[in-house]
Amino acid sequence: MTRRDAGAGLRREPKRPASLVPHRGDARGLAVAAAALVVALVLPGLLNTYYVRIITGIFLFGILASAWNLIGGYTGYPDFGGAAFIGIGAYTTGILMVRAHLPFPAALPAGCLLAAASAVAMGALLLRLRGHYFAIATLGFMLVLRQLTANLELTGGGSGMNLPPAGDFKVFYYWMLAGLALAVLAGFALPRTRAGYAIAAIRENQDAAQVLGIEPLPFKILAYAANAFLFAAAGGIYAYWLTFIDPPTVFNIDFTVQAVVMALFGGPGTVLGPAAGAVILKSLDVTLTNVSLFLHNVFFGALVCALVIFAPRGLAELFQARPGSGRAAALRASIREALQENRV
Amino acid sequence: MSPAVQIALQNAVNGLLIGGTYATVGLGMSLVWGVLNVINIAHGAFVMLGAYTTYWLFTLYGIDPFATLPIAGAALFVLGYGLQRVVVNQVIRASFLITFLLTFGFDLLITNGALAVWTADVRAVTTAYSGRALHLGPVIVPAVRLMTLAVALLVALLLHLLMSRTRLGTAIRATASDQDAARLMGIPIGHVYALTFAIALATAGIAGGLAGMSFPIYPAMGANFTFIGFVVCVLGGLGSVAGALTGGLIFGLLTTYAAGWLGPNYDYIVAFSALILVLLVRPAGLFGRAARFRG
Amino acid sequence: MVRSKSRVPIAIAAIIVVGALGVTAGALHGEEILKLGAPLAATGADAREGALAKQGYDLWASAVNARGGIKAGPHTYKVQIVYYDDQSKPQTSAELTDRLITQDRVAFLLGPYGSPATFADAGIAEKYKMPMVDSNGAAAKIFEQGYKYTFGVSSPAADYAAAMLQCAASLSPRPATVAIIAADDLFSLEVANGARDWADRNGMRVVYFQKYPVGANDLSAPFTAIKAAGADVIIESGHLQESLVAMRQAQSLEVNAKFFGFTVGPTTPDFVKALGPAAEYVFASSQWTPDVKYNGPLFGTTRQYSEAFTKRYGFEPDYHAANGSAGGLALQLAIQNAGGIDRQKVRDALAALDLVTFYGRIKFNDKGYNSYKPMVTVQIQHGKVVTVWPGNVAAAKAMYPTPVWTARK
Repeated sequence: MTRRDAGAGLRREPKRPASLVPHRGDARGLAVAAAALVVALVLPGLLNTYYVRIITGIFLFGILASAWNLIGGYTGYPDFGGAAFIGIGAYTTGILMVRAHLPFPAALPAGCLLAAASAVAMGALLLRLRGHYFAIATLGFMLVLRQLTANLELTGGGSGMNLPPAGDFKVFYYWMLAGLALAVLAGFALPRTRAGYAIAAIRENQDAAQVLGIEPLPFKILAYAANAFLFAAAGGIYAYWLTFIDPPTVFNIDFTVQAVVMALFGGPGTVLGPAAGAVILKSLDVTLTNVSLFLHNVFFGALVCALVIFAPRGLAELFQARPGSGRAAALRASIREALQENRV
Repeated sequence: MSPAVQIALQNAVNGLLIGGTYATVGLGMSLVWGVLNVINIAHGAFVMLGAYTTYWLFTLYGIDPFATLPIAGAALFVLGYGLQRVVVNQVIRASFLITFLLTFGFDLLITNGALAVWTADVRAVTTAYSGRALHLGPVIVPAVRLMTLAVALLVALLLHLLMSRTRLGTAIRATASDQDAARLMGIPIGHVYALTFAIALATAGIAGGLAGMSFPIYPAMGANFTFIGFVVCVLGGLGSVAGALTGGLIFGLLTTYAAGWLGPNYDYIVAFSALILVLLVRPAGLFGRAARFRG
Repeated sequence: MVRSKSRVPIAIAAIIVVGALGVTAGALHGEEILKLGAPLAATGADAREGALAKQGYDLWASAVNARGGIKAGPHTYKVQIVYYDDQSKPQTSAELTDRLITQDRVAFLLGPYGSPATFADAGIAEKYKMPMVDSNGAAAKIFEQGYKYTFGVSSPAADYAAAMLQCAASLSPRPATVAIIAADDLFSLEVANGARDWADRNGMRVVYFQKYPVGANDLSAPFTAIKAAGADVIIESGHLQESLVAMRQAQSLEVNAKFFGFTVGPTTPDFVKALGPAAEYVFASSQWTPDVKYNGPLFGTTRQYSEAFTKRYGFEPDYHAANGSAGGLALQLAIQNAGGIDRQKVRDALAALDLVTFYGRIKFNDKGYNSYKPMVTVQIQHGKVVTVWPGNVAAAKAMYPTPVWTARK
């Protein structure tokens, strides 16, 4: 074989990935997302404020679930201290609005950037840990930050702080929607970039990736910082919406746990899965709250247990049609498979 | 003796005494985490169940709270065996997140179930000797807390003997070490796992009974203890009795001194900063094995 | 599949029929229902106190309905309170308030339990110009927002501390030093700061001032420090669960003081039941006790209110319940005065309200809270909550100073 032949063979290899590589099924996913976006834009005009409020709450969790997916689902580093960034976003936005008299559209990005910066700093330390240890350490980080905030004069300490009241509620709806769009976009874009390939490799087998020349830490930090940016965005909008914030309200592990449940429920590897999970689970939560004054948490707990046992890979995978069998059979097969696989 | 030294000594005593309760809480969590690779978020909820068991036995039948401890332990043992065999086993090989969520679901169910059944009323176990204390010079050693520490040490000792001197203990350690090899050796994995979980929950029950004697009892009390369990496990190292014991005592001392010197509103800051430090410097904890169990 | 498809229209028809029957049934009775909304904590950290507040609201509702309802001009309305559990979370409370206003279309709002929730709900009420009577949210912050539609019947947070310290100062030997320890939340901190201010202005030296995390289980370190500092008065500002921890720790560490004062805790039945003999001598400030001597519409005298409550629930009312009943009563009187249920008129009637009730004087200052009702101080004596200050309503003298722990065994 002459060199030229070898060169010709080599030249026919696929080029190195362009900035965004399309995946199969992208067109359908984008269509669904676009349709949902159009509907979401129109809704506030059609529904009364109570529903708009509920949906804004759903968007909030959509942002959290999608953002968590970046570090937890896609990179495989389960972050349980995400609420730390919600708090940073909330308080930074609040402090800048109240003390520096900045308008909301200026204060919010500042909070996001600060959160991303702190993620870079903390990530350099914490992302060296793995699995359970990483989870516990991030949780610890969140609790430390919560207590710190309660001890500072600047934040109003344990008494909390008031943000200037906003006018029309629809403002929050649209801000949250924008945040959600950004989060879903990030979830879409990341796996399709070169960094995304590196992160996928790190998730599958970090040591092997390292052998291949991928330095894991910078990529992990990237995902962590993106996650922090989005969590802080959600936090800042939430603070403005609530008007009154205090440490336990924003540095609250409930946010993280719900985000994780929603991401897992919807499908941790997918782009729209976490957002879908947020929609379904939050709607269920609201419905249950109205059913029983007392037992709604019990129902939710049972629901989580059932989900985890029967649909550990999430809704997305559970409803993938199998060729040559009906929906019901596919469902049963998926459940059986999940049980077999996970049992001792 | 100068007042500063007096305060320091009293804080040391307070820290060690409360550390005993923390250690007992951490024991069960460490066992489950180290052997089954499951982080039991609901561990605090089980502690709460233990506390209520002690409370009801004491209030309804007048049984001395210390005497109720074995009963609380036994009840939770049975519960733990059943739970593991029927529910937890379904997800034991799944990713860490799955098991985390399952135990989170448990926590929701148990805490809210307790709220529905026993209401949010805050209860306490008050005996005739609740207020008694020993006086060691200028330092006061509350009697109940001292006995709590003694029980904690006893439980730790028993558990250590179980793990190191009995066949069951060997089987548990073997399973933790290499599940497939253990299976090849004929060890019934499902049964061993269930027994481990049962033992862990039994210690949680006893820890709850002990906690109930010193702290107010209410359905939501578990969350605090779950956090404490985490820190104790990480500080001391997973799957190690000595680790949980040391971790608990150190954590007790840390938080008490932090509260004393900086103010009670700094206890988490100090404790969790220490935790993060330990994780970075020596992730296996003080007594944990360097090898990772399953990633 | 076919079966479920045909069930749906039948279900819809059934719902329509039942609904129509319900509406006609109500119309046939000829009575009008006044729906009131109350997002109250039934679960979560404030569940216990929320339950007491609900009892207060319910007692008022049944009392007014037993009289035929609220007379507003030509109409008479039976009261129906719609409750939702806000899980002790302010944001949930705000959402539920929004729901009550827009979905359930309640006529007026009764306040939630707790200052953070009240604060959040007041903002919503303000947005919809919906009058809300706040019965269990005493933080001053709520009333510094310039809201015009929220009215608080209870005395503000700072008064909690002033009442206790004034009582202490009136006893002999007059205490000279005070230690203050508070939970780290909006209400408790306001009380603690109020205590410190009062002490500074009235010649009591503050020897210890610390805050602790809400729901703390272990206060041994602060109490060790307080013991070393040697205070005559110990003021603890928190909620029920923390007051239990505090008292137990004071007992086991033998921290002595002449005067133990708690903000929340001693007046609830749980306190005495849980602590037994250690609860003796403890002081608390209270918005209201059954010993105060007032007389007013609907319930009559304080004693009559107390008896009605005890008859219905089996134990004496504490101030959380009384707050609730007073809130409902204030709303009722405002509606009566306004002669109708127009929101603006009722709001103005609330602002103009000034009368004495079983609860004390109800009048709202220009910020919207009741600065005209004095608080009282109680003490636990022989297992019972007894009013000891001020003198004109005291049922017994204060037992002071508190004997040292070793003498109490």
